[in-house]
Amino acid sequence: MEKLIGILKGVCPGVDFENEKALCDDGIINSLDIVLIVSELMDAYGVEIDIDDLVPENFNTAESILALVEKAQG
Amino acid sequence: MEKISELQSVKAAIRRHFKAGLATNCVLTDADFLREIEAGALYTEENEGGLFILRDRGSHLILNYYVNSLPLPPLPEMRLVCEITARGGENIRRDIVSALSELGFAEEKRRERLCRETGKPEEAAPDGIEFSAAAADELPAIEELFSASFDELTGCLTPERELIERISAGEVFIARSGGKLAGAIETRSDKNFTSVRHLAVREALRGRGIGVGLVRAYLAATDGKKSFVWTEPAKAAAYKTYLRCGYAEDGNVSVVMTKGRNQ
Repeated sequence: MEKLIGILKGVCPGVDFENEKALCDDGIINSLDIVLIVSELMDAYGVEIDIDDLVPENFNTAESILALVEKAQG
Repeated sequence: MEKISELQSVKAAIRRHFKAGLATNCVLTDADFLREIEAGALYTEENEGGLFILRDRGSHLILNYYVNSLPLPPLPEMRLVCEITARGGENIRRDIVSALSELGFAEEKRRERLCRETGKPEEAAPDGIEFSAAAADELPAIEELFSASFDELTGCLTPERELIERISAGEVFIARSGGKLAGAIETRSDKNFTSVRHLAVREALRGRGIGVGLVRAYLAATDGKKSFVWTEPAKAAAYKTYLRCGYAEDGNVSVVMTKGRNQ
């Protein structure tokens, strides 16, 4: 989780990824942030994430983002 | 340019360019793509290094990009507008700005995003002005007001078909003075927040608090939900209107570039 939080804060400085539970639903991150986050995750974890997975419910918490990475890792 | 007639076509094109290290300014959702396809307004252009998504607005095209490497794909010989957004001015992709400049784009303006956290607005409103949700028959007057108030190329004017949807959804509010349209605000609702798309007051009636009244009327109608707006610091009156209503800069900035303005 520490590695992930570091990546997320690199893309979206100032966002409280440790505690926020509705990052997309509350407009804290937007669809452009999601694309840039996924681009960084694909680079950092060497995984492929499909654009159909770029939906708000996968990005509302750091935990859901980590779950997406783990799913991509198989 | 390739005209897009199916959602899967544009998604397949995005997949081809969706790689680590990507640069993009595309915030379009499936619903946005479907609306453009239905209107016959969606096109793509691509090369090995990137994809351009182009939305036809009649007088010009709006450009969104997914870019992995330069050079950029070829551009049509039409008037174009492209907005490059980032969290903080230092994060604006200068390589993309430079590449677009080489293709004939010029920087026109900068915008900043303001945010107002959840909270009920003040209720004070100017005397003699009525505020209400817009009705369908007010569409022509609202369109005329917005067209007179925003630049055709960079004003992000909402296509009529979409403005009709917004009025129908109760997302457009108006101010009336002496029975005539004095101002209007177009907004959009998302899950836990809303955003302002356009705010305009008739020139002869400016300086009377109508803009502030419109923002407060919209905020009251949404129970003071968290709200965002992209605005230009250079437009001091609008900028101050939002500050008076409790908005503050949230660090998101953009550069608006155009090509062929005088064509």
